[in-house]
Amino acid sequence: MPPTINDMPVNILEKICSKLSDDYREKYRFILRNVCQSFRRHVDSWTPKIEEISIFSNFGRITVEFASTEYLYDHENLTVDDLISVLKFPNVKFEKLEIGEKSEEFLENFLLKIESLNLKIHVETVELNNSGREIDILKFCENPEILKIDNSKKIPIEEIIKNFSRKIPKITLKYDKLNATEATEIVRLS
Amino acid sequence: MSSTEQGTSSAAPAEPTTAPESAAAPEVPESFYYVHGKDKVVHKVSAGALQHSALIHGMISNLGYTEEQAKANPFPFENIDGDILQMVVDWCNQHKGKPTPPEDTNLPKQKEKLFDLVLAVNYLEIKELLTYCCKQVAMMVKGKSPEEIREIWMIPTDAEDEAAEKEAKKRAGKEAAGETAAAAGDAK
Repeated sequence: MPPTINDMPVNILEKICSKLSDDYREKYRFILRNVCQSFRRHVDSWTPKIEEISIFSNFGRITVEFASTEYLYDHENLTVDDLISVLKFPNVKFEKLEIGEKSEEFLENFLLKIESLNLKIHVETVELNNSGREIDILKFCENPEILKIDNSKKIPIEEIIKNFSRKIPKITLKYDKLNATEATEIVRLS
Repeated sequence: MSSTEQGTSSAAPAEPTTAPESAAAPEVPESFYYVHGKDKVVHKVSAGALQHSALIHGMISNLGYTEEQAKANPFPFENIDGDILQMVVDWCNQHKGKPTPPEDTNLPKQKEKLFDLVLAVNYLEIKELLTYCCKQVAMMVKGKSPEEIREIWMIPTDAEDEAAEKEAKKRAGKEAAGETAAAAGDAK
């Protein structure tokens, strides 16, 4: 039987990957880990760089931006699997986690997976476009320093703050419209 | 063992890159060593060309062979196909005493051959050629999707892999059961 790529020793596979681009570990991470099981095992050993992760959804298609590279997904299970593969690194603190437009089903699966693995996401800035359950991600974020929420749905501030048992991050809230009473209440609570 | 000798004659002669001071120095006769692959065809290669291979270079330094001893004892590389070893020898001859260029476009395009070459070059520890080969393998899939990569590198999907694994387990189970039954029959 002629050799295949899966017969290559680990150091050679790594060398081949390194020839794909200078930032191959970022640019090809989510591509290679969806090729096959052995590639996935190899790629999952790469410690991610401290980077930004943005997740957007549009008509069932999910877009993940990771390390300035955009990945498009048709299957949310793949998205969850890829995201968990980088978020699970205990000693990596990401610069930003952004969750954009809503995708109820994706979020449901994502949150369930994080909960089942008892993951703590180490991230500096969390940015949420809060249209539903996005706020639930805060339970799993370990002491973020900055929190930005598009809170047009007017979720009470107490609901947001209760997710932080130790240190409350610097919070920026964005609203479409606020009446005087609502604005006063926000100022009072801050 | 076949006595066929494929020496440096077929390879492109190396351009002299001698430094000015060495031009004046008396010429030292070049020593040759012999290697063979799976096909037992012996290749005569100069020590200068073999310098590219850290493995062979190490073997030469440790053994201290005379030319006669080297001829009588070719280095056996039974794990390398004859045509692949020929490619390696040709490459070493072509790049003997020369600085290696940043690119090498003369590598095999056929992926099975290229994978074979990668494994051989990795074993022989030829750093520069390994870099070229790895780059060529990588370029096959640069900018491709996971599905395209699977197709290009002929990698089975996870589902196909699992099915093959199950089938292999099933077959192994049946074979084991057959052997047990045969052993029981023999005991009777």
